[in-house]
Amino acid sequence: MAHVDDGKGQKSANVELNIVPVIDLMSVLIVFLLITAVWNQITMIQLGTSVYGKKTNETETPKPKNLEVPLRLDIQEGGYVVVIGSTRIPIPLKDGEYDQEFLGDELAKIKERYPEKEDIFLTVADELEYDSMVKGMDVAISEGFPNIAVTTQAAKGGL
Amino acid sequence: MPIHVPGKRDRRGRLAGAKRTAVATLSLTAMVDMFTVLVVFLLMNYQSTGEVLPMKENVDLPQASSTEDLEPSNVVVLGPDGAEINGVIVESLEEIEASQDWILPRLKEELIKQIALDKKEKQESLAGQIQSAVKDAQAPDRVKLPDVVKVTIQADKKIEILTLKKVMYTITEAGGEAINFAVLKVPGEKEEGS
Repeated sequence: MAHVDDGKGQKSANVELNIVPVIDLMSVLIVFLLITAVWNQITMIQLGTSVYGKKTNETETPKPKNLEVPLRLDIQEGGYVVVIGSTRIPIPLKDGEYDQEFLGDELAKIKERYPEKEDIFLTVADELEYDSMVKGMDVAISEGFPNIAVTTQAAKGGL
Repeated sequence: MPIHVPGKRDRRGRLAGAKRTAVATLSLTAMVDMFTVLVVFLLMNYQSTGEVLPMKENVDLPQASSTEDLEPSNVVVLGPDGAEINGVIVESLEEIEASQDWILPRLKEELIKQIALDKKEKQESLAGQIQSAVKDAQAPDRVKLPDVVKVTIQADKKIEILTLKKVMYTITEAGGEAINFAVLKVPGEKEEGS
């Protein structure tokens, strides 16, 4: 409680702060924020346009590094296949689901071997759902391969 | 329920030498506390980029954790009804699925129109001119590159890949240079841990 000295040497008076304007301001702010709130945050996954073109308006596209070692992720009905150079790593489905954890581990190993490499080609079987492609892309980006190129060729050949 | 002023009382419970009525002040501290917490929470969830995509009722977006903020771009919605631009369905899903050709003519035509319109608006708009002038002033020697035509695909997660590939191919043929996929952001394991 605020203490006010009235200068008359008498007993001090207790004054309550007027918090009504604070409440008014808070109410207006809350209403504004509630109206403009975005509850479902839509974001985006950007295709790595630097593989083919340029990424922004301001910068020229740098050439992808370690181009001589092509990295490809095949998404097939039976699971993932990671192809790095001439090595092929099949990752079959686990309990009927794509094994994203195993894929993440394999991509992390590749990243350790080629730390400068950022590009990856993605081939997806035509009959699969879009969700499976996004999951594969998500793992690739999180493991440090943001320059994703989706090929029109369908993933074939089995695991 | 009456409010009793505290103080010395007589045998009958009445306040000695006082009036019957009393002015009671409500304690607003708890309410102010609650308001403060609410404001902080809402401010933390505030969308700072200002770029918002409207959610379509019948389009269930896939979820991803490694994502970027939305950028202004042309939007193609691909849902159970078909391919949609500016709220108008230009190709039905059945037509796209049945199409043997990878170029979808009506979608391509609409996209070309939309891209041309966007470019014209950007060039003519005051904001665009100011932005360009500011960039020129900041870096007069900068290499002026033509604007990248960005297209965001807002597709349902159950859409078949072949259908999506046809739409992507058409976008590229119509002049779209950078394709983005709209997703719902979920916190990733690394994000949660950090």
